[in-house]
Amino acid sequence: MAEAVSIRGVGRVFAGREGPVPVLQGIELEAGAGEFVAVLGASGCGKSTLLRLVAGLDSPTAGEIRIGSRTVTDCDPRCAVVFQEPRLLPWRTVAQNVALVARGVPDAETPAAILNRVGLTGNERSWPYQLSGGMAQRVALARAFVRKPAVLLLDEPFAALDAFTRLQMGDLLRETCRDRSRTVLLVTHDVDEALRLADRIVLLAGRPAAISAEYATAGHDPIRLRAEILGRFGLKEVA
Amino acid sequence: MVSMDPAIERGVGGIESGQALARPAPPRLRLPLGSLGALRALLLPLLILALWQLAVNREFYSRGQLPPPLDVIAAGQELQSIGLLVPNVLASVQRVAIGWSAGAAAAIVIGLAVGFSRPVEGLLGPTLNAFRAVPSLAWVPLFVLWLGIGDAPKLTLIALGAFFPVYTNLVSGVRQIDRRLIEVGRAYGLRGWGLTREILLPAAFPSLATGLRLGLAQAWLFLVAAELIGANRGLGFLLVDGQNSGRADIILLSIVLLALLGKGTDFLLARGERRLLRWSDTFRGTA
Repeated sequence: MAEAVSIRGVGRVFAGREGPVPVLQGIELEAGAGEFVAVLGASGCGKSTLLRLVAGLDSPTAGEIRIGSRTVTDCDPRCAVVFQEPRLLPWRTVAQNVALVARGVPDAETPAAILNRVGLTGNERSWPYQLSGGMAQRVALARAFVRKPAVLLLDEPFAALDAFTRLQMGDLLRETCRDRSRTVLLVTHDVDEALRLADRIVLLAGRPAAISAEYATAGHDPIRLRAEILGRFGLKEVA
Repeated sequence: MVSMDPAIERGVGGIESGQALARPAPPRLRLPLGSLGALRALLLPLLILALWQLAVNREFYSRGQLPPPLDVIAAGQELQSIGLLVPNVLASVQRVAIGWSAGAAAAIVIGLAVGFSRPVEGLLGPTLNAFRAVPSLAWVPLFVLWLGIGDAPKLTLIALGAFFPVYTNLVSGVRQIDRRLIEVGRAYGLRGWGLTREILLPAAFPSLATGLRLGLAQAWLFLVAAELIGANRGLGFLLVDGQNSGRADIILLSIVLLALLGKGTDFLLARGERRLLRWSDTFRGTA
């Protein structure tokens, strides 16, 4: 069952050598249950910080984050996170990496079934070091899916992959999220990826970062939307 | 998807070998160590045996001071015939097994706590480091005073000897764990013992394994020290007995047995380590 994510007035200030460093300020974002929201921003703008706050891996210095009706104070078992790097446990085989997360999940798919869904049948007994980058990231996705999360948090999960693999993984993600059984928050710096996958795109910009614009993708011409978003970042489409 | 086609790798290899053919490497003098396999481990012991026999033949020392290798074997047979060889070996093995296990177990518990928690490190770290600085043999008089001359002070000394290498390596291993893997564990709901079992211990295992092997070597070292002090059985006792009765063959036999037992137990640990680290993709030396 998907859960709504509500981010209200969230700020995060880090302690720097020369005093406090505000990274996020006054973030307001509502992702409805089953919605796919992309948070788009340049590298280093605080996107990952925002995702870590939602995941409960860090705490905001201001504001509140709620998943459903519960305030996030720690990692929430209803969430699953996919990081920029696969972060597989190297001492567990592919199937064991998935199985570890499936523990305690009611009616969890078997590792073999979920690995089949991400196209990794036959690799169940491989060690992570034997996989290519794309394969490892598929395992990371399978590990997130097997948890049947109400909220799927994706921190630039395809950023380190080649263009073909990125497209394949995007398709896989879109296919899996089609039934709207989970809310997805995707953090990315790739405008095309956001346009292809998300129902709504939220731009994060400034220092400290705040939400500068929001766009619904449905019913909009992606080419015009792309140009408008790039324009927001002061960039022009190359003819 | 990134291609993992072995044909590509073969292709790359082909280019390299093509270059090697075009520009042959100058001939080098190489010992044929690769073709010897496991037998190459015996080269040095055989050389030592030969030098030993040579030293006997040249009569650098009297036969009583330096008996030939065959006399040492004969001493072993003699001890075996009067039922003194196996019980002494077993006594030492048992002491090392108990002392090392106890020391390593304590080191694993304390090392994990110190490695994982900075407050615990602040509480225990400085004191343990101060204790580590004390040469462990300095504790012997106190152990004898407190625990008598039975097995208790010997086992305590061996456990102490095994403790510090395991503790030090484990703390350093925990502190070298990739922070992002701990984050994955937390993100997927692992806490406390679950996080320790699934992330901390396996991730720190390469360092722990090194510590366990160093700890075992220390345990054998401290066994001899403990048995030299006062024992009525064990290999240390045989050493003292050999010294008291002027039997260099028994002293040499004890030394050879200690070397074999030390190497044998380390071999078992190394095999276990290799098996448990199948997942690791690290440099294993050139062929």
